[in-house]
Amino acid sequence: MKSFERCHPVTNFVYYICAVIFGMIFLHPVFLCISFFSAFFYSLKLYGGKVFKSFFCFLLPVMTASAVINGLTAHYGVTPLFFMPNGNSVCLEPVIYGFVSGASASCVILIFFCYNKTVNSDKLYYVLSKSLPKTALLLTMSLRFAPMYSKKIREISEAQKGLGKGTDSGGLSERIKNGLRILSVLTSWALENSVETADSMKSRGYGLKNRSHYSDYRFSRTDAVMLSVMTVCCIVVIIGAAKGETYVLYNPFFEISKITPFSVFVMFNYVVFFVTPLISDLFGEYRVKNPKKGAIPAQRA
Amino acid sequence: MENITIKNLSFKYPESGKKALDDISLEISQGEYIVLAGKSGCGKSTLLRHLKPSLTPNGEREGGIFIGEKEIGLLSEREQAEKIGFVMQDPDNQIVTDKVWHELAFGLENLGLDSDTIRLRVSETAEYFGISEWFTSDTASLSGGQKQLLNLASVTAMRPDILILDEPVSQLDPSSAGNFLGILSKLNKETGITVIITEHRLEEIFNSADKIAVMDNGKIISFASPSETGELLPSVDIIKYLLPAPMRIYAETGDFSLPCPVSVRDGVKWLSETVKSPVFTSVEADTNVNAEISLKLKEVYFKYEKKGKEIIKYLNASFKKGVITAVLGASGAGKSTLLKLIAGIYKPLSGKVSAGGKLKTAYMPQQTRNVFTEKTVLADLEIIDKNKENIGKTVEVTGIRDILNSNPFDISGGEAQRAALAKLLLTSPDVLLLDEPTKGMDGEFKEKFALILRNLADGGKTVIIVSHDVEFCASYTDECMFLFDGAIASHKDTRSFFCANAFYTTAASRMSRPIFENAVTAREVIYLCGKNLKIQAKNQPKE
Repeated sequence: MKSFERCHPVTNFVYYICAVIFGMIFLHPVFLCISFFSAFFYSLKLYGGKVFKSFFCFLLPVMTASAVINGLTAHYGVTPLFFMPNGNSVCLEPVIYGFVSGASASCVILIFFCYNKTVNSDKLYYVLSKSLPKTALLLTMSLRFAPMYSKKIREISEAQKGLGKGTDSGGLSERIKNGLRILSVLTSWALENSVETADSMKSRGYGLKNRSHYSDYRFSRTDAVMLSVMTVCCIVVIIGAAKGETYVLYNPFFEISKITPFSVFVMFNYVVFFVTPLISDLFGEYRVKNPKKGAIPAQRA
Repeated sequence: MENITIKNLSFKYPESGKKALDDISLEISQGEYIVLAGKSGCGKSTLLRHLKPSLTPNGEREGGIFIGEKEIGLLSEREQAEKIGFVMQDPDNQIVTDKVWHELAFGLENLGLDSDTIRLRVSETAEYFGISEWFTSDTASLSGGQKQLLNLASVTAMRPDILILDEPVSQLDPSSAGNFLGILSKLNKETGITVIITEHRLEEIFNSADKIAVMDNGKIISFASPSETGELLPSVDIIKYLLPAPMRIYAETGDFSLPCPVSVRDGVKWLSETVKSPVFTSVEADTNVNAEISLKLKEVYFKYEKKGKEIIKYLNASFKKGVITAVLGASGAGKSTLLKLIAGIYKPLSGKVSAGGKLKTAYMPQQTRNVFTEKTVLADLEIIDKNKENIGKTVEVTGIRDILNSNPFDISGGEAQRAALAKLLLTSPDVLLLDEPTKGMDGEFKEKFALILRNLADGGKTVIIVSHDVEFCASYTDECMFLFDGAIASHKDTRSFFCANAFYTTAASRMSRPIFENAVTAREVIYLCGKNLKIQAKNQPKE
């Protein structure tokens, strides 16, 4: 078993795409708790204690704010909490709904945290190159531009500053003029360079037929196991959703599907799906720390 | 075995009266290392681009180029992409992708190879070129030398028969350039790949080359082995700008009784055998300039980031008025940072840059074109100063009248350098700060540029240049500093500076050291040789 980060891009993307969709559409409290806390614990595993900081400083305020704003602005609901001076009632249902949608958004943000740590641009390139080869090449080329342009802007500004034409000399209009000049050089420079880059691409055979895509990712047994587990769980969850096991209503009143043996089974599958990466990471670490007997030869005297 | 045959090739750019290539015929055998030498604008690049069909410029063309038996234009797109590799001058612009591994694979992907083959080729190439350690890095994080090595590696991964390189090391510092050329020569020797290269700095290449083709005005004027080239060409004027110091000294001394030395090692031997009993061993030391100090750095300390590396460590230095001072040192020693501190682009974290009175500085960056912001050179000058008289004077001093209406992006490197200098001069500075002004310039442009600098210094300006170019500094500066580990390790007048160094000095100085006391430039060695040979000829009358 290897960590999720080292898994094949397809495994990663199947998980993240399904996780984001589930996290957005299943607002049933139990399901939401499952997705939120799995995402939370997985980011805790990947980032450590920093996650608490972002939880308390960012995610919790978002959820609270969403509850308050929705409560104060939406006028549906059957359980009045209090009346505002203008006579409008503030009900429990929109407050709950606001909180739930805030939690769902936070869940998606947490999933993106995990995505950032486990999927790099190479994996994205791999997945894109299979479906949208031109876009994939554009992506890898543009990823090179960003640092190159910022470096060039710095160089040009320094050169202009050395001539007394920097963005910090003269009055406001003079400064803006100088800034625009810097941008204009950057543009001509970028155009000039792209001609050479195009030459380099052409001379290395870009544009020949049957371009292939190199990748160093191998689909291992771990990937097969994880992918099948996730697929089975997803199917069960989707069937469950179709059968109404994830049904919940917040507007205008609160209504929720009954807990049955089948709904518990669906929830169990939902849990398994969401914690697969976490389990894979934990188990991978365990194996490295406690190798199989005989895996590491006894030290020679 | 695919030989390259060029038969009576002539070429004219559209709307140009002059032939860029004039009746060129060459035979290049498989596995040869060919150097194409010549002044800027002599048609070297044009010829190289004719050897790579996808890069061949449009224009009128006569004659033919054959790879083996096949006319080069008849090669399929795939054949020419795979078999002919081309490395250009600028390390940055040739890189296409964001990751090193992907850049290596890019050409192979274009050829449509499967992942297993690509994996093998990429790994093997990375290992051979010593880039396994930064294999997974972003291309943006590499140094210039690493980038150019990557460009060579990604072309080589396609397994070409012919490698064409257009001034590949002109933008690199000497140690990266040496590394690059070392690997190139190893590649040529170990795999039998044909190498055709142009370059201004020929000292290192001449040792690896099988043949030198010298070009002038679109014509090949000589095509011979390095040592023969020295013997064939003594009378040709352009020679002194092209040949490495030992060959130039040999050619200009005019004693051809022994074979021409190519390396410094051969040069030492040749000199001791030619000048047997030296009578004159030193040139007159220059009159010492007791100029007033115009600029002082006291205990200057600087680093870029709070927890980053220290760049300048409590540096003390002084610069004199009317004197050209060179700051030398390895790349990463902090030379450019020092200039920017003097220019006021950065402020020292502690210490002081103090000028006697209020001196105005002007700074020229390494990438000269960053100075220009307008569509024509003239418009660029007018931004600084609209006064026609001032502009006219500056144009005269820098000799850029012909290019006033050109776009700064269209002029050559040497011209851009002078145009940038003109823009600097219009700010009427007292101190001129030039970062690597001779990068990518050929010998003739260097001389012109040095002359301008000398006039400016004589006019009372303090000129400070940062350079890797030992030969330039030895010939044209008054004082030299060696910057090492963020501080000045040595500061002397140019002659004593280079005489005191054993490695970090000119080829002429290294070569003449056993015999002459203080000769630093090739011209001085030639002068002393000539004097001694006259005496020798007098003392040993003809038998």
